Amino acid sequence: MSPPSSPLIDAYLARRPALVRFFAARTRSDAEAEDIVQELFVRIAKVPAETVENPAAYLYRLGSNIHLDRLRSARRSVARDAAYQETMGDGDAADPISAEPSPEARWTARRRLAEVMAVVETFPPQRLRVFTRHKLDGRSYAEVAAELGISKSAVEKHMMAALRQLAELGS
Amino acid sequence: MTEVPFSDLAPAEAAARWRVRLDDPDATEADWLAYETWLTAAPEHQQASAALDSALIDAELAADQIRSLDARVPDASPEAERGTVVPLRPKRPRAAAWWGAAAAIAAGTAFLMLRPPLDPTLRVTTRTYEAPATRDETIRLADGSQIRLNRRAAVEVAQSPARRAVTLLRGEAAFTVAHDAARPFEVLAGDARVVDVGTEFNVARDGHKLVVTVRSGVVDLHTRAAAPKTLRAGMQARVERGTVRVAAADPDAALAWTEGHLVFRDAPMSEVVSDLNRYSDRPIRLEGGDASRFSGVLMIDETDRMLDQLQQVSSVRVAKSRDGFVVKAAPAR
Repeated sequence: MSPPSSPLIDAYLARRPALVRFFAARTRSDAEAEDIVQELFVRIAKVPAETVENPAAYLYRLGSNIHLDRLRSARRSVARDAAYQETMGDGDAADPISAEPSPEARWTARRRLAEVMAVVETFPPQRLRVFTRHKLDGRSYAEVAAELGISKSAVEKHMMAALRQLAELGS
Repeated sequence: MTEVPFSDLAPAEAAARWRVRLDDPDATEADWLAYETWLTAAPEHQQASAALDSALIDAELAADQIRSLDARVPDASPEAERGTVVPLRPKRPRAAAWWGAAAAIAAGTAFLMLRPPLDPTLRVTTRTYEAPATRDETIRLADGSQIRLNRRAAVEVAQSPARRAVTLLRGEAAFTVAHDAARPFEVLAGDARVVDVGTEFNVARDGHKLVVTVRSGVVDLHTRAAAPKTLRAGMQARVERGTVRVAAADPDAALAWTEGHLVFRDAPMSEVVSDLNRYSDRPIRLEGGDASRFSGVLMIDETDRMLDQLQQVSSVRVAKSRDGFVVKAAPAR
């Protein structure tokens, strides 16, 4: 049973190869790109078409969020284990069958968190405020600008500086 | 000559700017496609983008720690943080040259389809591609369109939020155009302009001669010499010496080169030899007039093997010359 057509689904179908190509470039994995674009379809099937203003841009944005979600789950399980191991001790040697993150992976996760904290601690106060409200609290540029009493372009400049420092950490 | 947005910036800085631009709710599909162009321009770009993704996820995981950091900072008046104001868009000289050339083509026709941009920050990215002499080359554009360049063909691709334009500098190219009603796709070749919205078609340029064949969809062909022609699937236009002739043609024959063979239907031998030259590293000349016509299929291969095939399936004789080959057509009876 095929879902009823909508501008969003039409936009998706017309752009599917382009979306796969984009996410393959973004994730450097064809398989990951396919998974993301599949998940994208599952999600847009639930969205009433009337609420989306720019379907094409919406697809890219939603796909990017899905990509970040996947990164987040992968990262969370490693980080959660790192935190768990810190409180509970290493216990038994890693069980090869259970596919737990290795001690090396946990150490890498802890080190990465420490590096990010080190960078964030160097943010001047305003940059930290903007970063926290936009990236951690999820507020839009306009909302952050209103709350802090500064212009939207000032918010963008602060974000650019913050993101540049984070990007320089290297993967 | 190439102008990928933010390519003059360090990868980390560019990745940050892209993220900010795309976080804006007003970001358009064109922005995302431009980002893809930047992403695929160099591996360092992908690495910087991935590093940023990674760091942001980590920052979320450390959100509580970061928020307490923020709470600890005294709530003083916002410091005046002045960064350098760098325009977010690339400089324009390349765009001006392109608009100028396009305006020259438009002169003399009734169409004012290309006007100098009023917005000085119009984002146009331009890039030139060439296929080597020994094989064809496929270019995938950010919008999903595909250009298959036959040997030695060269195109200049210019993309902006409002338009996609490809100049066929020489040779033959097959186009598969992704549908985008808001951004017509144009192929410019000499004085001719092929406009299409979402189709598959072939354009072959040989000096001043141009052959456009449509496999699917619809294109409009604009030339200086004649009124615009609309070409549908299965139609072919030949532009030569100021005339445009439209006839039915088998698009699969015109696009057969993309599958590795050449299909000729009642083609004059001069056309066969001209096509064969595209795949040869040495010149092939025709001797004995153009009276004979050829229908048949040739597999694209080494030059001597292709000429061998031709000899077997037609009445020509092939001989080696000092610097290449000579095809002797049998005299007409």
